[in-house]
Amino acid sequence: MRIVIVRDYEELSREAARKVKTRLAARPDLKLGLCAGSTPEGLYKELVRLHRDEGLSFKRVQTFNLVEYLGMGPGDPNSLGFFISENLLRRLDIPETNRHVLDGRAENPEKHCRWYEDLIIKAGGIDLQLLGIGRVGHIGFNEPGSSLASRTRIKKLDEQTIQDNSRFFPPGRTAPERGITLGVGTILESEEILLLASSANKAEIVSKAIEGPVTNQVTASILQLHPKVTVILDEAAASCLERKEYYKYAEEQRRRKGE
Amino acid sequence: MKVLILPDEQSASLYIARLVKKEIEAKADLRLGLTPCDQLWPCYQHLVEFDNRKEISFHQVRFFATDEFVGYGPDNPLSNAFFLWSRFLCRLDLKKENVFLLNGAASNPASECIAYENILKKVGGVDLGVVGLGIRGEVGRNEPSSSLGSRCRIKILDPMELERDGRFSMHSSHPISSLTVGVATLMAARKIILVALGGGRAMAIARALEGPLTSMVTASVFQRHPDCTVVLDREATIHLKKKNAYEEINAT
Repeated sequence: MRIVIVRDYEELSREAARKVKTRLAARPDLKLGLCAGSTPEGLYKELVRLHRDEGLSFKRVQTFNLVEYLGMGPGDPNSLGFFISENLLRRLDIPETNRHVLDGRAENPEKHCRWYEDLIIKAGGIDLQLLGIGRVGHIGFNEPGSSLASRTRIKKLDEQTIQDNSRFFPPGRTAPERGITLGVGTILESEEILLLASSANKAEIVSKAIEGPVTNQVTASILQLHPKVTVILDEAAASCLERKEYYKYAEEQRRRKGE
Repeated sequence: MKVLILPDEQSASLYIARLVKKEIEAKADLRLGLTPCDQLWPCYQHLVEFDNRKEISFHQVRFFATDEFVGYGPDNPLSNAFFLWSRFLCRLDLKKENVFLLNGAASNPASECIAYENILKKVGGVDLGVVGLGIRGEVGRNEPSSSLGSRCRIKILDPMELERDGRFSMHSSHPISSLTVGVATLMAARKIILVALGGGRAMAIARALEGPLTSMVTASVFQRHPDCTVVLDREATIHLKKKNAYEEINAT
């Protein structure tokens, strides 16, 4: 696991965008897994800027959304598909047909999940999966207790997650209790994973995920088993890490070698 | 996991050497993975004696090792290759072309790592890996926080660890990084002998055997290995909780 600690959220967003850009340069037909939430907002803004100002093209990219609320279609302004589209997809040059989204209003959600898994397989798998981490340690909506081998499915959300999601909803409206999510097993099959975490309220869960036991109580901890994960943290999110000094030192050495 | 407890370092070293001997007797062209680790030298000396007494032949055995310092070629007396050759390999009746060590002086260390994985793949993988446990529960140079799914790669060394190592204390410069097989590379060995000797490794072995699976103790991954034998001396067991579940072997 490569752990990159940067000063603040702005730097985190720029660093993450740089990483996506590098992968895109090596692979113009990148299969990119997209997450929702406030953490990737800055990254998405930066990617949009790179597209607009520097001509970074996403024409051949295929995207896959990580999560959706059950009962919400991608057109619903409160849906996660809408969030990703508004913040990123509709501002880039990705053809509509290359944007693969989970539909929370699918007539048969179970079948929809299986269809989505097939879609990923047919595309040749996800090359780069972007992830945030919830305060309960989830990746996607793989809440505590999720199977570490799970596939795309419907998941009842943790109380804490519902509460955290509520801030994205108008006052008086509570966030949905169920979501559709890529499974832990599905996520692990991505060739490369980029996990982002920012701010002090993530510090404790970040240290559990990176330095704690591999456990279904913190599904992000499974990333310890993945061969190619980069974690980008701001200082605040890194503040509880036991080996923080080593990560900083190692990153400095890599930079010196021009990696 | 089979956990065996020997009375002391001497008896444990001989026991491990006999385990290796048995494997070579069963398969003359054994592909043997080694750790350039201090605690295994006595065991390697026993293997040299077995060879000198013609009890076994290393003629067809192929050798591999876990790690090397970047910038330290086999001629550098501080390199792991030099250690392995001068203290062990040069005293065996072996074929030089059967020794595959990571070259720390490779001009492109990253490609050296890929090439090493390819060699392992080509020969069909390691049959037996003799792995010395590090003080922080690491195997190879897979220090705490290494990915449990890692393959051979370059790892930046923790300067605090090097200080403890002592090997470089008399020298003005020290290595910054090492080439090391990954945790997944080690896991791919058909059989593993994990060795922890002495009280200094007692905490590490307790965490590896009885603690959770975690990249902070990379040896914990062997809890998932199908054929792993753990050899300990009594001093290394002081922090183990389930001692009754393990087998005590009295020296012969």
